[in-house]
Amino acid sequence: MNNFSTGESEAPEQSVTERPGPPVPAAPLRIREHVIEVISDSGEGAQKCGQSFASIAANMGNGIWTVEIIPAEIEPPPRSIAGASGNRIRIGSHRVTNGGDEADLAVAFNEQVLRGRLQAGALKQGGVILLENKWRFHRDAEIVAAYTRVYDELIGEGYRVYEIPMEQVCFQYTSNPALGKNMFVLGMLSAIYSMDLKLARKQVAFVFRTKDKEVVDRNHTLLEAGHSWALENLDLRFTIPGSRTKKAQIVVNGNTALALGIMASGMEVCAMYPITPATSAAHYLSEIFEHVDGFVHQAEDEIAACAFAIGSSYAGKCSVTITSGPGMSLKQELIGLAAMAEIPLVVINVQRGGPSTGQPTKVEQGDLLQAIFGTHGDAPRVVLAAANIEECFYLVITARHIAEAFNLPVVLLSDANLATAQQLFVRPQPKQEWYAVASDQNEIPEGDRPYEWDDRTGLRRRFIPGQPGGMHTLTGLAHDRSSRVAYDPEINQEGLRYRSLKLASFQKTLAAPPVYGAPEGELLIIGWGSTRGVIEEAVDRARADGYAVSSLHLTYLQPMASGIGEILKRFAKVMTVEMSWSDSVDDAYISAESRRYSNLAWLLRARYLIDVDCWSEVKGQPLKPGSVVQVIRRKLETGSKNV
Amino acid sequence: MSDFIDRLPTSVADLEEDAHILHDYEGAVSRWCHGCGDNAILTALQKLCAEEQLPPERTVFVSGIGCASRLPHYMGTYGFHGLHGRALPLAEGIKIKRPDLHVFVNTGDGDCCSIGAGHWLHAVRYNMNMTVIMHDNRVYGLTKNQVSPTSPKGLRTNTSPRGAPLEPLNALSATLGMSNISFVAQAVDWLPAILYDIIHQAFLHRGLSFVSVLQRCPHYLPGHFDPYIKNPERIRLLTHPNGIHPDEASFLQSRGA
Repeated sequence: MNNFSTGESEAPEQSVTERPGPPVPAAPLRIREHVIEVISDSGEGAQKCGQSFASIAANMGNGIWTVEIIPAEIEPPPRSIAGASGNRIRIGSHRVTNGGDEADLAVAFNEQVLRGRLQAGALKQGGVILLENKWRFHRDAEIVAAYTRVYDELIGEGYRVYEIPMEQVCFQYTSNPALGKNMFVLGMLSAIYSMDLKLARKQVAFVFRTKDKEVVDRNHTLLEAGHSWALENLDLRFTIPGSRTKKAQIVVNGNTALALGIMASGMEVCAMYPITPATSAAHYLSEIFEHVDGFVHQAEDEIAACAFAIGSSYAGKCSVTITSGPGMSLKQELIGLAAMAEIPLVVINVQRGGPSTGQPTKVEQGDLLQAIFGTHGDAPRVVLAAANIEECFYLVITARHIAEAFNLPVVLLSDANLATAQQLFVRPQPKQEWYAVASDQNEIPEGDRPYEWDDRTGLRRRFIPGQPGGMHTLTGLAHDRSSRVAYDPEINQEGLRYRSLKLASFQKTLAAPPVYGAPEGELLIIGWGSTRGVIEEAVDRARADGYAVSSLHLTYLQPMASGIGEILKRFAKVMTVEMSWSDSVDDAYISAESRRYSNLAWLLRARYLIDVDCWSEVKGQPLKPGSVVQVIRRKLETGSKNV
Repeated sequence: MSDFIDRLPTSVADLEEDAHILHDYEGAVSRWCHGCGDNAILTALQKLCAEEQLPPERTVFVSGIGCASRLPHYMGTYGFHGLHGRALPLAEGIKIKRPDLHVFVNTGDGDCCSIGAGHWLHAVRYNMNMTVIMHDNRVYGLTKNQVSPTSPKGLRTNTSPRGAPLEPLNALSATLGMSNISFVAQAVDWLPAILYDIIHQAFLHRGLSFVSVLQRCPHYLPGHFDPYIKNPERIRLLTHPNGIHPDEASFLQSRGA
């Protein structure tokens, strides 16, 4: 339904495209998938462009996954390598579970941000680059020289570079092309990938839904301008067939999914302190939570946020605190209080690079062990991790259920990759059983005590303020069944036993996860969290090449389901693939006795007494399936030496 | 009083309930030292609960860690003996979820002005409807005699053997310096009638009321407040037309006049 001519192109006036008007291919090239990056200086709108493009693709019925490319500063210097800001979009005919390997096509608003992505190894050798060409004509000779140098290098290295007069063309439609060219690029991409222009227009209207009509109109014009310009001037036409589903679907990022999950779980209080990359969940929640009588408390610090959540949990329904690594460390003492006093609590940790301030905007999985063991003394808690955006939603509901059923803290791990990545999933239909039930306010029978532990399960009925006859003072000190401070040496032993038994009871409800690939073989890759899609894709590719490799994904990290040990025994070699630090055995001083393993490998080695190897990378980038395929090859081709 | 709505019975059943007697507010037997000023604060609070007929099941005493923070165990209400310094954010969480509960916070000078100082100042800003009693004995007792932020300059303790090097912080002026402050008072444990009046007014105040109580520690600072006790003229009752007006007779009586 597009009205744009695809006939003979007429080079626009003052066009500086070096290529002559290319012949437009007769039919777009059918491809199975593509990875696209749109990158600019911060504030130029590449992120909005990339996200919108992904949404249009999703509406076309494609599988999508987006990865935000975020500079560390709000306004990094323009035209700088570290300032690259934008979006990676992977579009496929199939369900897409990760950001993929090197990009097939990149749109860059200047050559320096492009260099940043090239240095990060983000672009495919010989890939397509659409480059804003205004820098070639800049009045500053140094900029011209820098641009020309990079351009010549790219050509020399075999990239297909298209110089695009983005601002120049936009100038025909707007007096401030710097502000609107992201929509021009969106139009261009829509044309290149044969997207329905009507859907693109709808998306633009949605993006600017809170703005004046004039703004919407201008951006529609720019979108259409980009679309027709690409059709007339570029010989790039692809189509990635999608399959539209009748079921309503949503495209959200992981943090928005967490916020929606908090609402759907029936929790009513979310306490937080601003921290990257967790905070945006609270942004969204702050906007919508009051519609369901919820409350977001921005506390004075991370500790207070956790205490606030515990206080409100104690007085009624379970509450949640949301944070990232450093905040998680600060909350540990209070998580111990929730474990000791048996107060339900959900802690969401959107992990980032550590230790210390580390890499706030970058992904890492270094918090698993602190999530399980971070508190002094024995403070049992359940730890689970989301593998994708959809799980960011559903596991919050699960976490709330576990916390209230077992009266303990539950840590849900997400990470910086999931926080900003977007994925498509079937719109959840809320169910009554997702919500927390109203707090028990019935009278407590005379003689009942607040810690009447069941000898087999360790469970007990929680007394909630307001219940007549239930008055007691809850304490973080060792306490007896009446919640009195324990002075008897046996009581501490007893309390610790019952609190630990609760984890064993919960473990009885878990089923062993399914093996991905064959149930036995040469190599089993084990992973957790956001690497699931990458690992499974790598397993698919390696199996297609004849390797006897399978994978196992763990959602529950503490406790782990029964049956995992049996699975491990069916494989000759077992290793984890993770994004937390592990020593390389290639380092001279690293031996079997000194090697420090990545988080999950430590756990598996300790529990199953199997020589679990690991491979990990902490570059702050999501893992690439291609890298994992390399790891599998190496592991299966180099005898028994650990990689 | 301004918060009488809070105290209205919420159901007919409440009206039919038997009146609560002082005994209903008594919990475990206090384990504070003989002569500890915390006992006076406990007595005042139990009396307040009985006077105001607070339903024990809808009253929560929240505390941190320290001698003062043991108080909830000695009440017959719900209690939350939390973590060192964290009583206030715990109490805020309780209050936000359950505005129907009467929330009290008992905190010491170390709990409030040192490890929990950040929470103290922000609790004043939040101005939630709760009564905060700071038991200020000017020394760390439970950890055995260390210097406190409210210790007078020169005080010798286990961690200041040559005398506390700094001037003490003034909790009242710090509290008054925060935006949104709505009730600040100071009382002393050895004038029980005034102590009760002030705590009572603090309870009736709608918003956060902060009461610093100078409290004797006979174990580590014996005789510390004697100059004030022996010479009542050194204590001045601050009055204000909009302030509280304790009964003149009880004031004089408290001072042994």
